[in-house]
Amino acid sequence: MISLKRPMMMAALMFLGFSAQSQFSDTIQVVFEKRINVEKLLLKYAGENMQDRMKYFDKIQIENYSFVGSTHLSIYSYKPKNADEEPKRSALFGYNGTENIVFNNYDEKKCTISKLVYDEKMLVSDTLKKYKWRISNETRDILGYKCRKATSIINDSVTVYAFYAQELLCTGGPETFNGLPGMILGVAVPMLHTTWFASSVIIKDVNLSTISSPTKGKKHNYNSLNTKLSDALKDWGKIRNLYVMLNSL
Amino acid sequence: MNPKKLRLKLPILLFLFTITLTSPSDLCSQNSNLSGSILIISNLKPINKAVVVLNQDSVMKDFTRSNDSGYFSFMNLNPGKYQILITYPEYADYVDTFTIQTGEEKKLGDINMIRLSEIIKAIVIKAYNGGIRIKGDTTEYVADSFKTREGATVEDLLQRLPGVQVNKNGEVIAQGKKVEKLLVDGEEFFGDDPTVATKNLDAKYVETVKVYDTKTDNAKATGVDDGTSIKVMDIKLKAANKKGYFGNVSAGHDLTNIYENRAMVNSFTEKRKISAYGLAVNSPNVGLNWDEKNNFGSSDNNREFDPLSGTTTWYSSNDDFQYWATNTSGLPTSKDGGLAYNNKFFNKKLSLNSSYNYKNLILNSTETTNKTTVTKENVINQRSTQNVVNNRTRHSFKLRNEWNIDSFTILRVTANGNATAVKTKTEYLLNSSYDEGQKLNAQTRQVDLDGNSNKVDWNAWFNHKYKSKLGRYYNISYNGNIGSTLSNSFIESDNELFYDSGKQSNIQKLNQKKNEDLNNIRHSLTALYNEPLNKKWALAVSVSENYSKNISKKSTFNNEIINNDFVDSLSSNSNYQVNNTQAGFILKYQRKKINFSVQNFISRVELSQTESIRNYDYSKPYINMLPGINFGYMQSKQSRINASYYLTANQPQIQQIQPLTDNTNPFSIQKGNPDLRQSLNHNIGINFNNGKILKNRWIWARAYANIVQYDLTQSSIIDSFGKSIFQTINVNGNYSYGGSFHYSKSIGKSPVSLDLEYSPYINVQKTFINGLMGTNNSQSHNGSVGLELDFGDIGNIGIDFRHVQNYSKNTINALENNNWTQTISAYFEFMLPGGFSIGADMDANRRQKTAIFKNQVNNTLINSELNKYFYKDRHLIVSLGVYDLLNQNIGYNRSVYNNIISENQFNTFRQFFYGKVLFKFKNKTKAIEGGVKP
Repeated sequence: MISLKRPMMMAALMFLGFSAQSQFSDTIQVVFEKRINVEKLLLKYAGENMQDRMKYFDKIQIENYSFVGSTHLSIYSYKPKNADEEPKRSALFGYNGTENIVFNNYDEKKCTISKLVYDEKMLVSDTLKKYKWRISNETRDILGYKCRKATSIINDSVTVYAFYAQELLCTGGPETFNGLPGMILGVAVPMLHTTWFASSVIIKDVNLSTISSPTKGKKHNYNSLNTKLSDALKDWGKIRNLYVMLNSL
Repeated sequence: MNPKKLRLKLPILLFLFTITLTSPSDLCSQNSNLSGSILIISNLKPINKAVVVLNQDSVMKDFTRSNDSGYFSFMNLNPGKYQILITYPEYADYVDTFTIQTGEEKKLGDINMIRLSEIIKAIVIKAYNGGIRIKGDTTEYVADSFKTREGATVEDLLQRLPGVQVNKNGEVIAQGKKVEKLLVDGEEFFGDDPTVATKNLDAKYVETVKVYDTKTDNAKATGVDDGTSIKVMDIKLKAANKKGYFGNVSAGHDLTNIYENRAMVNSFTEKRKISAYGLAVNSPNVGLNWDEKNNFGSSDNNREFDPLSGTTTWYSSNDDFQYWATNTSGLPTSKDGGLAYNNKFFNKKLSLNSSYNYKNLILNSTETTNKTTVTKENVINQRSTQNVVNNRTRHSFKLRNEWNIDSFTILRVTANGNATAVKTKTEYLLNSSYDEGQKLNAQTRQVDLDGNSNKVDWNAWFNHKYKSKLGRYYNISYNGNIGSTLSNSFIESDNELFYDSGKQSNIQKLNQKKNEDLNNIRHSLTALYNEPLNKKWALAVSVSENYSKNISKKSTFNNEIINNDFVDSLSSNSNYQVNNTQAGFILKYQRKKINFSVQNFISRVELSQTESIRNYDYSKPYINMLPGINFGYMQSKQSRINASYYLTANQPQIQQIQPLTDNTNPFSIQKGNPDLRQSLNHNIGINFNNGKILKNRWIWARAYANIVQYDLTQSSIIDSFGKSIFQTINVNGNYSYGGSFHYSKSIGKSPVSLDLEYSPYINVQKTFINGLMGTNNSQSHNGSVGLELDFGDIGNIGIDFRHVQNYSKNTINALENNNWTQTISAYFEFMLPGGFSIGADMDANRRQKTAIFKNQVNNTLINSELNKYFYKDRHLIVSLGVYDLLNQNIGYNRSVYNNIISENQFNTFRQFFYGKVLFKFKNKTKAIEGGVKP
C-alpha cells in the first residue's frame, strides 16, 4: 500500500514542481482584505462594558485596500468594493484606518503617510519603517504564491507575522510593512486581532501613473506623531496603548 | 585673474577636494564586502533574481538578489558572524554560516542550488537517511538521521555513523584515524577523557556530530607544519538542551559482584554550563582513559621495556596518562567523578573553561605468554606468566581562559595539572628452553612499586591582528611544564642460568631496593609573524626556543638483612638537558579553489647529559633542515583533494646513546651507541573526500608513505646463556606505506545502506639479529563490507564482515607467516509492543590455523539486552541483559614480529547476567523535546 502511494505522491509533487514556472515581476497591483476582530480587540483593551456597544457594529470589520507598486515606488490606500460605497461606521471610534494612504519610495528609502487621527489630517514623512525580520522555513500558499513566513516585533512586544512572495520583486506590503525580499501578501498581528491578506494579485499591465505622494496634512514624523497621540490620550488608560498601536501601523 | 592668487588657491582646493573625496571611503575601508555566484547544481547555469538574505543572530540584516550571471554582493558589512540564506522558487534553500573580518573581501565562490523536485525524489527514495554533509574537510552527521534506541548513549550513536567505529576500549576511529580530541559544543568536556561524554551523554540530546582534521596545538603555535594532523570530533547538542538542566542516573548489577552505577547532571544556560558526573564501575564498560599498560616508574619514567619481545617503547612524558588502554587484559574497577564549569563574562569577551576530575582504577591482570624466537642457529621457546595488581589514583584539573581583548587581540591562558599515586605488585615467572627441550634459563621476579607523580603544564598565547592590513598578524606563545616522580620499589628475583647442555646451573639471587627521584622542567617560547604579500600570497616567519631539563636520581640498595649497601654500579644521578632553537618560514598561496604552501625550518638540537656517580659528561648537537610542501584543491564543497610532503627528524634518545644501567631483568642488557645521528622521516600523504548528496554516496580516502633515512633500529645479540644484548643503530632502507578507503552508499529504494572499507599497510624493516642483517616485510590488508537496514521507528539491523590478511616474512630465517582473521559483527534493535525493545550485538572471530599457529581459535561474543520503557516520554528504562551469552570471551592475542612469534592469553570478563535501571531527567518546560518517538 505505502509503496504504491509514494510514487503517486512523487509524481504529483513533480508535476506541481514543473508546472508552476517561476515568473518574476517588477510591477504589481494587489487588493488586500483587512479583517479586524473588533469585538475581541475591544473586550481585551476596553473591558466588559464594550459588550453592549458591539451590538451596533460589525463584530468583524472587513475593508479592502489597494496596493500599486514597482521596485521603486508604491502606494497603499482604501479601495471600496463599489466606488461610491462609504466606509462603515467602526466601533473603533477615533481610528480611521480607511483614511490611511501610504506612499513608499524604495530608491530613497522614504515613506510618506497621510492619515486622519480623530479629525486632524496628518502627513508623516520619515524613512521606510524598519523591521527586524526573522525569516523562517515555513511557507503558506497565498493566491498560488508560495509565501515564506517572517516574524518581527513592533512596539516592543507585539508580534507580526508576514508572508512574502519572492517572485514579486517589490519589497512593500500592506500599511507600512516592508523590507522583506519580496512583496508581502499577508500580514497577521494576533495581538491586535488584525490580518491583511491579498485577495487578488495582478502583475501585467499595471498602471503606475496613480502613484503619487500625498501632500496635505500637519507635518510629523513617526516619533512626533506617537508622542502627540500618547500625550493626547494619556487619560484613556488601557485603551491608549491600543490606539497608539493602531495609529502607528 | 591674478595667476599668483590662483596658484595659492589651487593646493587648498585640492586639499579640500581630497578630503571630501577620501574621508567617506576611508570610513568604508574598515568595512567588509561579500560576494558569490549562484548556480544550478545539475547544469551549472547561473540563477537570476535568487533572494540572498544575510542574517545575524537570526535577524535579517540585509538582502539582495543575484543578477543574470548569478552574481551577488553586499558592501560595507560590519565584521562578525553571519548566516546566509539563499532562496529561489522550486529550489531547496541554501544556508551557510561564516565570519567576516574587518576589511575582508569575503568571496563565497560558486554556490550550487538543487531543485526541490530532485531533493524530494531523494527524500522519498530514502526518507530515513541523508544525514551526512561534507564541507571541505569536515564531515557532519545529523544525529536524528541515525536511529538509536531510547536510552542510547553517544557511543551507541557513533557506532551507527558511516565511517566511524568505536572499539571495545571506547576509542573512536573516524575515517580510518583515531579521534584524539572530543568536544561538546566546540569546547572540551572534562579534559581529554572522551568517554565521559560518549558513555554518559544521551544520544537523543545530540543534534550533529562533526569530524574534521586540525593541526596540533604545537603546529598552530609555531606555524611549523609537520604534516601530522589530529582528528577532532565535535558533538553539538540540540538547542532545546542548552537551557535548563538534564541528566541521568543508572544502576546495574549482576547480583554477585559486577556493578555499573553512573550519574550525570548538566545545567546549561546560554553562557554558563555546569556538568557533574560520578561513576563506580567494574563491568566491561569502564572507560580506561589512560594508558594502563605503561608500567609506571618501573625502570624509567618514559620507557617501557619488554624483555620478551626485546622491544623498547618510548613514551613522551606529557601524554602517558591521556589516552585509553591499548589492550583490554585484566579486570578493572573504577571510581570516577568530575565537575566542569564553563562560563562567559563581559559580553562573552572572556570565557572560562574549567574542570576537576578524580579517578581511581584498580586493575587485576594475569597474562601467560608463549614466545618463540627463531634464529639461524636455533629456536628458543619462552613461557612466561605475569600477575599484576595495579592501583592508581589521580586528581586532575584543567583550566582554560580566553580573553578577546578587542576584535583584533586574543589572550589565551591554559593550565593543566594532575597528581597521581600508584601502587603495583608484579609477579613474573619465566622459563626458556631450546626447541629440543634443553633448558636455557629461568627467572622468578617480584616487584613492589609505590610511586607518586605530580605534573603541571601551562600555556599563554597572545595573538594580535593589525587593523591596518587584513591578514597581518603576530602571535607569541609560551609553554612550560614541571613534573616530578618519586618511587620506591623492591625487587626480589631468582635467575637461573643453565650451561653444559642444560645439565648444570648457576643461580643469581637479587634482593634490591630502588629509589627513583625524577624531576623535569621545560620552557618554550615561540613567536610568529604573518604578512600578506598580496591577495593570494602570504608569508609567515617564526622563531622558537625550547629548553628542557631532566634530573634523575636512581639509587639501588642491596636489601640484605644487616646492611643497606648502596650499589654504585646500579645507581645514577644524572642531569639531562635538551636545547632546541628553531627558525623558519612558510609561504602560502590561496586562490578560489587552490591552496598551496611551502615551508622550511632549520633547527639546532643539543642533547647533553652529566652523571655524577660514574662521573661523565656528554653533549652532542644536531642540525636539522625540515622542508615541507602542501597542495590542496577543492573541486566543490563536497569534493576535495590534498597532497603533502614533510620531512621530520627524530633525535636519538639519550638512553639510546648512553643508557643508565638497569638490572631489573639481567637477561636483557641495553648498550649505548655514541655515534648515533638523527633519523630523517620523509612523509608523503594524499587525502581525498567526495560526496554526492543526491545519491547519498560518500567516499573518504587517504594514502600515505613514510621513508626513513638513518632509522633508529635496535640490533640484538643473544648469547649462549640466552642473554640478550641490545643496541640502537642507524639503518637505511626502512619504509612503510598504506592507505584507507571508505565508501558509503544507500542502495536504490530499499532501506539498505552499504559501507565498504579497505585499509592496506605495508612495512619493510631491516633487522639485526646476532650480527646478521635481514629484511622483514610485513603486510596487513584490512577490508570490510557492512550493510545496514533501517526500519525507521520499528528498529534496525546491521551486519559487517571484516577480513584481515596478515603476511610477514623475514629473510634471515625465512620465517613466513601468512594468516587471516575474520570477524562478523552484527547487531539488531527492535521495538516490541507494550513498551518493550530488544537488542543484541555479536562479534564472531575466526583466526586461521597456520604452520606457525597450529590451532584455529574461534569465538563468538554475544551481548543482549531487553528493555522496558515507562512513562509517556520513556524517561525510566529497566533492562535485563547478558554479557557474553555463549561464555566464549577468551582473552587471546597472537602476533609475529621479525623473528618472534608470540601468543598471549589473559584474563578478561566472561559470561554474566545483569539488571539495570536508567532514569533520565530534564527540566519540565522542555520535557518532551528529546526527540521521543511514540
